[in-house]
Amino acid sequence: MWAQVPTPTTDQTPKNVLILGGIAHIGNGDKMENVAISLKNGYIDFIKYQMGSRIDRSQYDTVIQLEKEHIYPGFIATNSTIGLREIDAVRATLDYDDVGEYNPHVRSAIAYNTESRITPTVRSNGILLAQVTPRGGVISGTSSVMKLDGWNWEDALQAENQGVHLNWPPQYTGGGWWAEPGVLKENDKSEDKIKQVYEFFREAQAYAADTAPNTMNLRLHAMRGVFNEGQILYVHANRAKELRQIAQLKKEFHLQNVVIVGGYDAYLVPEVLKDQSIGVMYRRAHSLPLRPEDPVDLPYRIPAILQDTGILFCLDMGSGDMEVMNQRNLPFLAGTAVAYGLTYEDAVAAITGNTAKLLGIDDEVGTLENGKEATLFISSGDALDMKSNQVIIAFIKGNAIDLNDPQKELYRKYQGKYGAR
Amino acid sequence: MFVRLTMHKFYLAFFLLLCSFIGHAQEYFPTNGVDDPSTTSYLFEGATIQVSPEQQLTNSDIRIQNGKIIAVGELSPLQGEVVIDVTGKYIYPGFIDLDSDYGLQKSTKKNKSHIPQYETSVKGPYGWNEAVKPEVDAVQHLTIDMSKVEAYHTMGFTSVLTHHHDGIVRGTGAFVHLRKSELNKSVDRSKASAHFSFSKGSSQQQYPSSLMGVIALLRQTHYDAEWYNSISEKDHTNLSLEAWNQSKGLPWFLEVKDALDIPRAMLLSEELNQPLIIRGGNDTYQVIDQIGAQQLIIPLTVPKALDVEDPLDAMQATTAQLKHWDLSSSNAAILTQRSVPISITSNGITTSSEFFQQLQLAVKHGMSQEEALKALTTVPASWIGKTDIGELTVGFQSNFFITSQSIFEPDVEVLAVNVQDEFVQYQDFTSLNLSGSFNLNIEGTVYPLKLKSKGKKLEGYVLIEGDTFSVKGSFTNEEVNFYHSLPKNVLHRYSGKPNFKGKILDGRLQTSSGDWKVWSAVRQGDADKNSQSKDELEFVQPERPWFPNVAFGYDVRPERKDYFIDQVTIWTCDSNGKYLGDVVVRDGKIAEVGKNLAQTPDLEYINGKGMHLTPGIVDEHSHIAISRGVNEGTQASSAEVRIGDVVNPVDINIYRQLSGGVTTAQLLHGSANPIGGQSAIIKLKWGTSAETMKIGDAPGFIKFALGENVKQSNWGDYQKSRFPQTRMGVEQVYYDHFNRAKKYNEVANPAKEKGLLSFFQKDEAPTFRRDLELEALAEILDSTRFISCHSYVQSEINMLMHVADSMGFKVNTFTHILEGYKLADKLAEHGAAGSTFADWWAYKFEVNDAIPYNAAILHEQGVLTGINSDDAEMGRRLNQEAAKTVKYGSVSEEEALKMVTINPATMLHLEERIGSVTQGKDADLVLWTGHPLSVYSKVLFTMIEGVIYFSQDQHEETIVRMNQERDRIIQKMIKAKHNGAETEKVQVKNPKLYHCDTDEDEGH
Repeated sequence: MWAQVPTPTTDQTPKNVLILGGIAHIGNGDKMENVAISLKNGYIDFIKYQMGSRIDRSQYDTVIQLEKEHIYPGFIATNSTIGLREIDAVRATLDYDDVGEYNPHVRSAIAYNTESRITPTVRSNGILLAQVTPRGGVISGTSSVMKLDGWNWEDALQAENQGVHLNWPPQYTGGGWWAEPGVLKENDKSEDKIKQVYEFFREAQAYAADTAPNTMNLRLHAMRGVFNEGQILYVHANRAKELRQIAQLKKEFHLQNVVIVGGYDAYLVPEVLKDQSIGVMYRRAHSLPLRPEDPVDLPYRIPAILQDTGILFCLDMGSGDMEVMNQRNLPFLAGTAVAYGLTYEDAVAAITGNTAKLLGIDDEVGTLENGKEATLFISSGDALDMKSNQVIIAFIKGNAIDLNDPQKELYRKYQGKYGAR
Repeated sequence: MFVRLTMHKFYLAFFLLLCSFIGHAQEYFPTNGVDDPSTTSYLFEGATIQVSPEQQLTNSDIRIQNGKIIAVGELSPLQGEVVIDVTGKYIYPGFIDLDSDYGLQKSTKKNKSHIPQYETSVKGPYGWNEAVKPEVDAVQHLTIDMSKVEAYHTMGFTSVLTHHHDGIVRGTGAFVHLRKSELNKSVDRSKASAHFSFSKGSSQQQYPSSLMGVIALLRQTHYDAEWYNSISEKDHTNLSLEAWNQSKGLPWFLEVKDALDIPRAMLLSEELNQPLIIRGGNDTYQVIDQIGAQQLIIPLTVPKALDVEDPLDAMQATTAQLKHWDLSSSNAAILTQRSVPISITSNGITTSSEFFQQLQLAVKHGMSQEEALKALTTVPASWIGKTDIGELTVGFQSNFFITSQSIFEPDVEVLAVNVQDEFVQYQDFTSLNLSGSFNLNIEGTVYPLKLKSKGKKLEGYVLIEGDTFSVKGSFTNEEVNFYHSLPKNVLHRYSGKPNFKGKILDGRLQTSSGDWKVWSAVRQGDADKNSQSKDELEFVQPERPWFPNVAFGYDVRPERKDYFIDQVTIWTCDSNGKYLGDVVVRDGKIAEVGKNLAQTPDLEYINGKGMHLTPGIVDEHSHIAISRGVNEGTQASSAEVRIGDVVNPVDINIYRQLSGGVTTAQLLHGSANPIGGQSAIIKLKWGTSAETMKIGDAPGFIKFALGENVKQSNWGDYQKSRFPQTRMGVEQVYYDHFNRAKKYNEVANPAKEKGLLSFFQKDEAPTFRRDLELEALAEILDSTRFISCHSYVQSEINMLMHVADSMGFKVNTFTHILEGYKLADKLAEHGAAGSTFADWWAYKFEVNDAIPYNAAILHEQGVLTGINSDDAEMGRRLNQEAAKTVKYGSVSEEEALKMVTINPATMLHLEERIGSVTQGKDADLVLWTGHPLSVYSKVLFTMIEGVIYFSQDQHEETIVRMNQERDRIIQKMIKAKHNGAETEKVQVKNPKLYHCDTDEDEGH
């Protein structure tokens, strides 16, 4: 039994669990201390203050008695290649970027590897759901939200094909070649590229309007949801001018749901985004400033600034170095946002309730509210601070998952070698 | 009897006759036709003559004969002499450009093959590296390039030092006069100079790929040449080294890429005991404090203004770009005001008007005219040891140029150039200058008229009844015509002639109704010049560069102060643990630590209540602040390269990491080869120089590496030919190199004892070839240099410890060491330290077994354990990374903090000096808002040796100051654009962030 990925729970019948005590971070900006939370059939049956409530404990298979522990809705990783990549340097383990510029028909759900050795290390820090997202090209493909528990991709699905991902033509591109990266230049092709995006959207819109197209066009077909069915268009971009252009696209095509992924400059053009009700998945706050003259702590402060503008946003570990393994550090992005001005409960919302809204799954998950799926966890300490994040129990849709992971196995194995503990 | 040629005839005689007075070749060359000897002298009469930078003669004459100056002063024409009337013109000694590739073909890169080339492809018994070619001799490839001659002439240049601009060692240059005929006469001196650069050029050979490799190659070639020179009976021939040795007596020139290279070149010059003339750029002012009396060649180029009208575009312009744009015109002024000897090159400028504009701009910003002239004439002449050019003194070569007016006045043009006995005329001398203010008299009514003449064109304006109307026209020496409009579609067209050299113009004009009127215009003075001097020639105080001249640079460097830090929670990281107390800082040291210390009035008070104080964070593994390449991975061993040669003190990441409490960092070579390069250990003293940042007496370290990187596993299919490609091969690289190092020590040690390391200082012949690579490896054997080895997998870690044991030394530190937990017992036994990541894994196959509990196990098993960054971003949050060891493996908080303070300090053998809040240590301290391991805590200040380099308050003030400065320059740029300056779109230098794995060829 060496370094195995833990056994899934999705075929089990959820037990009825009663959680008593503890500090519940609701995920909508509120907090309740000393709560009673009832989990029945995989859903939150109720959440209320323990004081003055009469609860029939006999209805529950398990009663968890807490004191100062913290209860959180399952944290949600966005814009992630988790399950699509295992080892960055080994090509055979990479399944997130296919050939072609416009690939909305390529969808992540069916490539999601439930046997990834990384996933258990992520969920044992409280991340219980992930938006699994393709990369590359102009339209990378279609994402799905997965539960980080499952025998196969099918039973891991939380929301299938919920979004299409568009990489907005960047205003600046790196010049030169790999040996001399030197200069970031204004992208003189950006205008043409934007035109191409418009052309593609015009075709896709026409195709979507046709209820019975003669010929099946896989690409255009995969875009129908964006026009008709409330599928979300995620547009990846960071700079202010790009964000303005994206708002124009939404207006032009009367798109219902557009979310910016990245959004470093969103605070510079808030009225544009609010006017079009565009939300933001704010890129990894633990990044260097985009520009040398940006205050050193600007990436940390942006969440608080966005909160003040009223833009709906969540925190995204997102793309970048070692992104999959780094998803386990998502809670600490929220911690940093607290250090730099966001309230604690707003920070929790930025990795739970807000995220669920931006993924279109807020009816199901994201907060500790009656009727939501019982996807939540308990940490013995403050889960947003690395020195106290210790997940002791976690439920995904009512089932308590195994918090073991291959790294813990190796830890124990070698502790054994040295005869410790 | 002398001949006074009319101007027109003169023009025909000399301009059309291929521009030569004499036009015959060397006397021993066969002649086609009759001989055409000439001993005629020529007299240029009535000019303002710039005899030397210091001396100007007005209304004087100059006589030349056979390419020499015969007389200067008030002269009378001689019999048989050709007299040229240059009344009112200016004559300057011809300028000298020491950085030219005149008359030579540019080297081009061969087609880039994907397969790496490890050996030289040059035919012949030359050296081993293609970029080192001292044997190249420019003069052998020289041709006359007519269009370049003209370009140089119209900028006033008559002589250049030309060399092949390709390679690190570029061979010898030729000193050439810019004639249009007779190449043999052109060449004043072949092998006049030796040329070097910090760029690899067209060589396709792998080595060197980094700047530090370039510098190492230059150093090693120097020692090789010394040795080659000393062996009496050579067993081989190396023409490259022979050429290098032959160039020893010549002036040496080295071209650098940016200002930071200048101190690097100066250190090289010192080591080679060889003065270098450094060809810098327009950014040399940025290292003004470090230049001293270094000889510099600088261009007059300035960057274009940026298009910054849209504030969203302006945001993308870096402060470094804006500041540089603002200061580059002051470059020459800043240098000359600090008495840096400079020579000016025209390189980078293509037109005459641009050249003189930039020269005038430099003068406007504070370079004196005399200094400007020196930098173009006498200074370059003296640098190449020429005593017969650069002045218009009797006996000197007759190299000069004639201008319409002073070269420091706007719109100056070169009219003619004389080079030796060749005369080239570009414009008719006699062209009138009609610029000035006139009284325009039209049938008795007088109107003010201002004219400006350029070439044959006229423009200006006339003031009629309070309104100005613009005037346009043209003129020759015989005719003048112009026109201007008046209200109601009326146009006045003037036709006339100039009289008295343009002092009076007269003629008739026709109105729109067809009437003719008589007009005249009498010159009143040079009104134009006055207005121009106000607008354009006004002296501008140069702005001061910041320290460094980039975002978040200081305008005033912070000072060392003595402090009393009161009632703070001190994490001592020594045996005293954590407690509430006070700290006294004096003279950059921790003077006292304890409870209830006495506060004296000389100490600046810092209230620490509620705050936490820790030692400065020490990052054992960093790749920030490195210029042009972190890896010299082109050979299995590159022990000779030194990060210390390429520390980049202006990297913004220094400031960023200060803001995260980092005070000391080991800047490591990358991990592209089993034996990497030597480290630099720096303190993050933002705003100072590379040499100031380096901890001078820190022990030497070197990077080793194991695993996928060194066997090139992830480098693509073409990278399969360098040994080693397996872990098996890696072991043999070590045995091989250490065996060679041992052997080297057998010869080197006796020599070292005799002080024979630099042979130039001793008469005694060297007994061995100094080898920088083996020397570094021998230091490891002697335990005077320590290894920090990039490592992941336990098998090879074990292997390297065996290699070390068998060679009698210890592996100091295994860095990364992600499988260290699997052999922590062996590490402890060997005595190696482990510097690891808190939670990285899954990026390579070899880190698939990495676990975040690694640090905890290493620590428990008695291995000295640290947490490092290897990442510019994470370097700002090393306290948080240390905190993860509390989460993963339950390390105590105090021990966790030690993993980023005293433990790495101990690994670096600096534990006596830094790493803890202990009396007597350097005052490298960080004040935090709260618990130093918490995600919620922020740095209030970071102090290094008693200097607060970062503080929250200072940071906020800097942002305000920076924004004001940006706004000032942006306004200036917008104004420049509206005044017609050419602008370009904002381009941002993409800062390069290095990791161990970064292997990119930056030696170019």
